[in-house]
Amino acid sequence: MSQIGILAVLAVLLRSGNGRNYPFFTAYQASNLVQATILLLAYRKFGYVTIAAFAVYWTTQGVVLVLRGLAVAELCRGVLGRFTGIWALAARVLLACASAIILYAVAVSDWHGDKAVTEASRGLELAIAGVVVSLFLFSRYYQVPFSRQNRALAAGFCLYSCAVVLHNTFGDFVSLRLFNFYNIGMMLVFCLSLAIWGRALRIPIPAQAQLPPLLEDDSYQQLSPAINARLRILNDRLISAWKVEAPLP
Amino acid sequence: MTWTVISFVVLVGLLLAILSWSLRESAEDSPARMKLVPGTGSPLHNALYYPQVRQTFSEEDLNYLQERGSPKLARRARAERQRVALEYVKAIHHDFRSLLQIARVLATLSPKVVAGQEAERFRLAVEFELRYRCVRLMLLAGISPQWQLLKIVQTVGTLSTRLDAAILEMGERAVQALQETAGTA
Repeated sequence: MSQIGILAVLAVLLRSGNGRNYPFFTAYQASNLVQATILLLAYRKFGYVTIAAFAVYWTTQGVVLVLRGLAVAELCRGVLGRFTGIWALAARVLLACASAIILYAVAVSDWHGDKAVTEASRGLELAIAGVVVSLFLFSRYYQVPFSRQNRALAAGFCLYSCAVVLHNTFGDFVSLRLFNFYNIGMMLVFCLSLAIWGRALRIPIPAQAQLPPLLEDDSYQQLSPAINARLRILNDRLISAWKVEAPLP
Repeated sequence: MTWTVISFVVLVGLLLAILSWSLRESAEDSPARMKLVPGTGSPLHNALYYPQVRQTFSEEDLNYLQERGSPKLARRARAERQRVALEYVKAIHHDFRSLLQIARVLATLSPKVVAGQEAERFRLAVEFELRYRCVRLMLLAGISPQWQLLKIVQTVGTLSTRLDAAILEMGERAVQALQETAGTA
């Protein structure tokens, strides 16, 4: 079922011409399809529960994850890239955010045996979700325009990554017999993400208008400290309000 | 259920909550609907009413009312004074936010920003917001702030008007530029 969804999203991307705007996202979708085909062949050849099948799954999954990461980076650049000043700042903040999440995941995860791979995947997915949410917060704070298509892409990524984190977290508590049913939930979330992406990307994105000329470098250098000084004064003065008179009779 | 499981569930819950909050596009956050319209005056225009507000808070006036009028009238005047203080603090909050908005737009359209400046501004905004809410609660509870609170306004009002004009002009240019960008996004 998810393969049909991926095919539909790829068709939408090609038909609307949005594939050119989101090359890494298109590559990510294509990689999902290629992975499914390789896995089908591997399971037929090696069987479902074998070391060889396990190795093929996680190798291909690594490629898919890298492309997911690149697609998210492409999205971040698409939203903030035109604003060179805050993009430079945002790139550092988002990287720091992703690193902190990965470090946390590394610190609290169980790295013994075959669990290491799922734990690593969980950490990376959590980092992706964290980056996407930070992107939302960043663009909201600086009031940067966030197009409908980009919002849908970001929401789909975040939703799916959160689902993977929960899926990997609770996977240990599910018996092998029920695991196929357990996977259905994950597949439904993936299909939901595909639906969100497909719906948003069916409309061709108009060519981005030329950004108005950015302000001169010295405008920021001169005014930003002055504005901060005023904000600081306002803040300091407000502290005085803590000293209060007795309540009114 | 281990601590790790709980922590991951809480993290995911937090991320999803922020995501859903962020997806709700509020009118005030859209650059196309920024309230800073060219020609509306300084973002610190509320500071200009400082002398009038100061007169409202004059202790002499209140004493005069108590002596010449009735205690009831003095109480009424005091209550009215509270209301004015509340309105005034609200107006100062509005000024603070306007200034903050200009700063953000300025950063957005600058080819280079300083991380330290941005971090400081973010910290100041959070601090001010918390303090403002506390002062507002105090006023609503009938606790009267001291005169120092009103000095906020005096400070703001006596700052260089030339810098005011420069900030405003730059802010207007930046908002206009961002609105044009938002219109095409």
